[in-house]
Amino acid sequence: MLSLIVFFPLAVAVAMLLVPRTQEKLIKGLALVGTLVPLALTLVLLSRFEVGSGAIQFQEKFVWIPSLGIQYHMGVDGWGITMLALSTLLFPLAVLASFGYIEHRVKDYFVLLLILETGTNGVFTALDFVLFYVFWEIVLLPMYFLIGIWGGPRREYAAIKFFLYTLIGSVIMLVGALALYLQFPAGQRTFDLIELAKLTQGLPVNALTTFAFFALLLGFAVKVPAFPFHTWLPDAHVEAPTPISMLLAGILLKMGTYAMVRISHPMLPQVARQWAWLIAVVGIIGIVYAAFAAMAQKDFKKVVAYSSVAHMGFFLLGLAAGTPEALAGGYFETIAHGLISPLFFFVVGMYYERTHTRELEKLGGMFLTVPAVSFVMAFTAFANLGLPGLAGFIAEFFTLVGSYQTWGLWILGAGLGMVIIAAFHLILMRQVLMGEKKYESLPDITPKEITIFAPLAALIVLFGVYPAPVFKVLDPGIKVLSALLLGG
Amino acid sequence: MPNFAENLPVLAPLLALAVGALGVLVLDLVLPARRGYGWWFAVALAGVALAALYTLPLLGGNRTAFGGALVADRFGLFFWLVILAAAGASLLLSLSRSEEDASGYLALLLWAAMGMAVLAAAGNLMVVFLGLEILSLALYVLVAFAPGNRIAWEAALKYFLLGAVAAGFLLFGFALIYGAVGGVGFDQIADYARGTAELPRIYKLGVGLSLTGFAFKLALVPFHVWAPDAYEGAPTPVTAFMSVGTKAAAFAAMARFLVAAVPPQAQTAYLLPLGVLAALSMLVGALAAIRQENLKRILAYSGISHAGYLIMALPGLTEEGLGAGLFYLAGYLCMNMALFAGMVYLRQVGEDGESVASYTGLLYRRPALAGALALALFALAGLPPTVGFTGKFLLALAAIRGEAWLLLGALILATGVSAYVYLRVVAAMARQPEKVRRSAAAEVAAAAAPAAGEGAAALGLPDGLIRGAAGAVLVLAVAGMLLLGVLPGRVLAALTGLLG
Amino acid sequence: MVENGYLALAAVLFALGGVGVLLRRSPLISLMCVELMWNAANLAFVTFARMHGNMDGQVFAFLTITVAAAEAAIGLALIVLLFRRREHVDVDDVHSLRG
Repeated sequence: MLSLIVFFPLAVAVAMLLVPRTQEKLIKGLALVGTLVPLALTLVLLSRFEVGSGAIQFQEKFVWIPSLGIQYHMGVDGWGITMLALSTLLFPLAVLASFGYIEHRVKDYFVLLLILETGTNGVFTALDFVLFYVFWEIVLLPMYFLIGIWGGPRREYAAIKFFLYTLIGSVIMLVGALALYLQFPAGQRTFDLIELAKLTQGLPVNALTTFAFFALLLGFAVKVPAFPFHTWLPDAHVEAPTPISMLLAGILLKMGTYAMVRISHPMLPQVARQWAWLIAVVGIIGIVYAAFAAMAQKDFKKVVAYSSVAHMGFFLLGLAAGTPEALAGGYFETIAHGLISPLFFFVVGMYYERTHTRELEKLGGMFLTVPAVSFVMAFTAFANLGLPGLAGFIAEFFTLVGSYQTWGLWILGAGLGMVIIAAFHLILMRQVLMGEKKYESLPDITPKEITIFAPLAALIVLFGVYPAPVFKVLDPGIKVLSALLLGG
Repeated sequence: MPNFAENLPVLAPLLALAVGALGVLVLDLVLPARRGYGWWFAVALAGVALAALYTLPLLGGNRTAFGGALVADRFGLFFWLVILAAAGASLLLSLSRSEEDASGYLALLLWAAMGMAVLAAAGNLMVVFLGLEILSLALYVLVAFAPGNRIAWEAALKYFLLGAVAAGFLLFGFALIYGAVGGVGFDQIADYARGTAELPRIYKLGVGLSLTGFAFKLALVPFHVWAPDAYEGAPTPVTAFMSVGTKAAAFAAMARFLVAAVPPQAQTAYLLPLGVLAALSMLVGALAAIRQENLKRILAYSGISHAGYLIMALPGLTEEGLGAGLFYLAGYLCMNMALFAGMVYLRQVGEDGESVASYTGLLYRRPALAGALALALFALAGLPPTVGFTGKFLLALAAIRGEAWLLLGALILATGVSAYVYLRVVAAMARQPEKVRRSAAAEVAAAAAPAAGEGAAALGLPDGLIRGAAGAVLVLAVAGMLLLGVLPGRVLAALTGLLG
Repeated sequence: MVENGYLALAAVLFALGGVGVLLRRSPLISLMCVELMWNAANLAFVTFARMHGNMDGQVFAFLTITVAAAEAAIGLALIVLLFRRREHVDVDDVHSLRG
C-alpha cells in the first residue's frame, strides 16, 4: 500500500511520457489522477491507522542489497503518516494551481511534478537510510528543473543555488550516516533506521558520534532551512512558479524537520542532549533574524519566504527543548505551516496573476479592488501570525509552553520574534489591503482558486479549534522521543 | 619450462585481441579499402567479442599463467570485462570514421585494449611495464589520429613526452625495488615487505618513484596536465576509450602493486602522500572544470576528479575497498560512454556536440537524448538512482573504514563544485534557445549534413548504422547506469573474494 | 664496492635526464633526455642483477631496450608529423592548446 502511494505518481509520469504533447487536456487529467489516487489511498490508510500505538504500521520489507545490510523497508508511524497526508494533500492542490498558470511545456512540467511526489512520499515512508537518501536526492532533480525552466528571470541562479546547497548538505549527511554504520561489527551492521537507532543509542558521546550527529543535522538543517543555511530559500521561492513555491514551503522543508525527528535525534539522543542549547540558539536566532528580514523585504514573496524560516525556528526550539509539549508544538508547527504557507504563496500568486507584480509598493487598496481575494489574504496572514483559533497559534503556544520548562526565560527571545512576526504581518496587510486603489478593476476570485483555498482553510480552522486528533496520532512517538531527549 | 597449453586459457583473450588487430591489417592488404571497409569493423568487433567469450569461463576460479607473470584472478578478470566493454563501445562509436587509415586505427585500438588487459592482470613488475607501454604506445598514436588536426598532434606529442618521463620514473622505481628485493614478482615483493623489519631507504624511494608513474597514468594532480589536451585533441571514441580503459588498467595495476609492496604495519605512511594527491585531484579537477567551455575538456577534468575518488578505495587496502573501486569503474564506464555516445550521435546529425554552448536548448530539440545525457551528468555528480551514487556510496564507505578523513573532506567539497560544473551543461540544455540562434544552428546543421553525406558516399558506413550504433551504446550505457544504481546486489555479492 | 659506483652513475644519469627534459625546449633533445632516464634505469637493473646474482634484472633491461626502440620510433614519428608542417621544432611553439 505504501509502495503504491509512493510509486503511483511515478508510474503515471512514465505513462504520461507516451502521451503526445499536444493532448494537454489528457495530460492535465492524468496529473490530477496521479496525485488524487495517492491522496485517496492515504485517507484509507489514515482510517485504518491504529492511533495510540507507537509501532511502525503498514510495513513492507524486501531484501535489496544484503551484503551491506540495506533493505527496501517502508513503514509509517505518527511522524510519518501526518507528513505523508500533508504531502498527498498538497500535490493535487498544486496540480490544480498549475492549471492555467503553466502554459508552456505542460507535459514536461507535470511529468516532473509527479516524479517529485514520488520523491517526497518516499522520504516520509522510507525506513532504511539508503532508501531514504535515494528519495531525498530524487527530490532534487525535478525540483531543479521545475525552478530552472518554469521560474522567474533569475531562475537558473536560484535553481543551481538550491541544488548545490542541498546536495552538499546531503553528502555530509551521508558521510555521517556511514560513519555511524561502520561503528558496529560486520554481522550487526544495518541501515535500517529503527534497528540502527537501537544500536547507536548505546554509543558513547565522543568525537565520532558528535561528528556524525552534526553531519546528519547539517544535511537536514539545510533543507529546513535553519538559520545560517537558509539563504537559498528566498531565492528559490522568488523564482519558483507559484505551485512549486507551495510545494517547496509546504512539503520540501518538512523533509528536513521530519528527518530530524526520525533520524538524527532518535539515533544520537545522547549527543543531542549535550548540544540542545546550540539548536535552541539557532532556532531563536532564526525566528528573530528571519522576522526582521521579512519586515525589510519589498517583494511580497520574499516576505512569505522569510516568514517560513521564522516558523521553522519554532520547530527547532521545540525539538531542542525535548519536553513532550514542546515536541508536540514544534511538530504541529510543521503541519500548520504546511497548510498555511502554501496558501500564502498561493495568495501571492493570485495577486501576481492579476497585477503582474509582487512589489509591495505597487500593490495597495486591494480590499477595494478584489475583496474576495483580499479576504483570503487576510485570513492567511492572520493564520500565519498565529491568531488564536487558527492552527498556527496552537503550535506556537505549545512550543513556548514546552520550551519554558527547559529553557526558562530565554524563550523570551522567541516571544520577541513572535511580536515582530505579528508586526510585519500587520504592516504587510496595511500595505496590500488598505490605502488607495492602485488598480481600477481586476477579476475577483475564481472557482478554481476557491477549490484550492477551501480545503486548506477548513483544515487550518479545524486544527486551530480542535487539534486533538493530530496530537493523538503523534503522541506515542512524542513520548518515546521526549524520553530519549530528556534522558533517563 | 612453462607448459604453453596449460597457460593458453589465460592467454586466449589477449591473443584474441592481438589476432583481431592483425586480422584487420591483413584485410586491409588483401581487399581494396572500399570493399573491405565494413569488414574491418566486423573483424575488430569480433576480436573483442571473442576475448570476452574467452574471459567468461575463467571467472570460475583464480589461476595464474607463466609462473605468476599473469594473474587471472577475479579482480583482474572483472577489469578485463570493463576494459573489453569500453573497447567494444568505443569501436561502435568509431563506426563514424570514414578515412582510409581506419584499419590502423582499429588495430591500435585493439592493441591498446590488450595492453590494458595485460596491465590489469600483471603479476610482476616486468609485465606491469610491458602492459603499460603497449597501451601507452598505442594511445600516443591514437590521440594523433585526426588527419590534419594540429591540436591533436600537439596533444599527442605532449602526452608522449610526459608519458615517457613518467615511464622513466616507473622504471627507475622498479629498478630500485628490484635492487632491494632481488626479484620482480609481486609475491616476492610481498614476502620481502612483510618479512623485513626495517625496510631500506632504497626500497621506499623505489615505491615512491613507481607511484609517481602510476599517478601519471591515472592523471592525478600534479601529473594531470596532459589529460585535458589529450582528451580534447583525440578523436571522440578514443577519448571515451582512454578515459575509462586507462584509468581501469592503471588502477588495477596500482592496487596490486600497493597490496604487495606496502607493509601492513606502515600503511598510513605509504598511502598518505597518495591520499594528498587524490584530494588535490578531486579539488583541482572540479575547480578547473568550472571555466571550461568544451564538454570534452570538462570530462577530462572530471576524469581527474574521478581518479581522485578512485583512490578512496585504497585506504586500508581491503578487499571491500578494491571491490568498491572496481564497481565505481564499471559505473564510470557507463556514465562516460553515455556522454561520449551522445557526443558522437550529435556530430552525426550535424550538431557540434563539443562546446557547451551548442547544447543550448537541446532539451527542446531532442528531449530523449537530452534526458539521457542529463541523467549521465547527474550520475557523474553522484545522484541516485544512478550508479554514480551507489559507487560513491561504496567508495565513501571504504574511505571511512580506512579513516581517510582528508579524502572525505575533499569528496564533499569536490562533489559540490563539480555538481555545479555538470549543472551548467544541464542548464544549457534546459535553456530556451533564442529564435535567431536556433535558425542559425539549423542552417549550420543543414549545411553540414550534405557534406557529411558526400564524405560517407566515398568511404564509410551507412549513416543509419552509425547512428544506430551510437544510439545503442547510449541506451546500453544508460541502462547499465540505472541497473547498477538500483539493483547492485548481485554485482556486489560477486565482488567478494576478489584477490586469489 | 664497484657496484655502488655504477649505482651512483645511474642516479646521476637519471637526474641529468630528468633535468634535461624540464629545461631543454626542443622535443628532440627532450626525447634524448628521456632515453637517458630509461637507460639509467637499465644500468641500475643490470647492476642489481649482478649484486643479487639472478637474471631478472638483465631480462628487464632487455625488455626496456626493446620498448625504448618502439617508443623512440613513435616519438620521432610524432615530431616529424609536426615538423613537416612547420619550419622548426620547439616545444614553446607547441601552444595551440591551453595549459
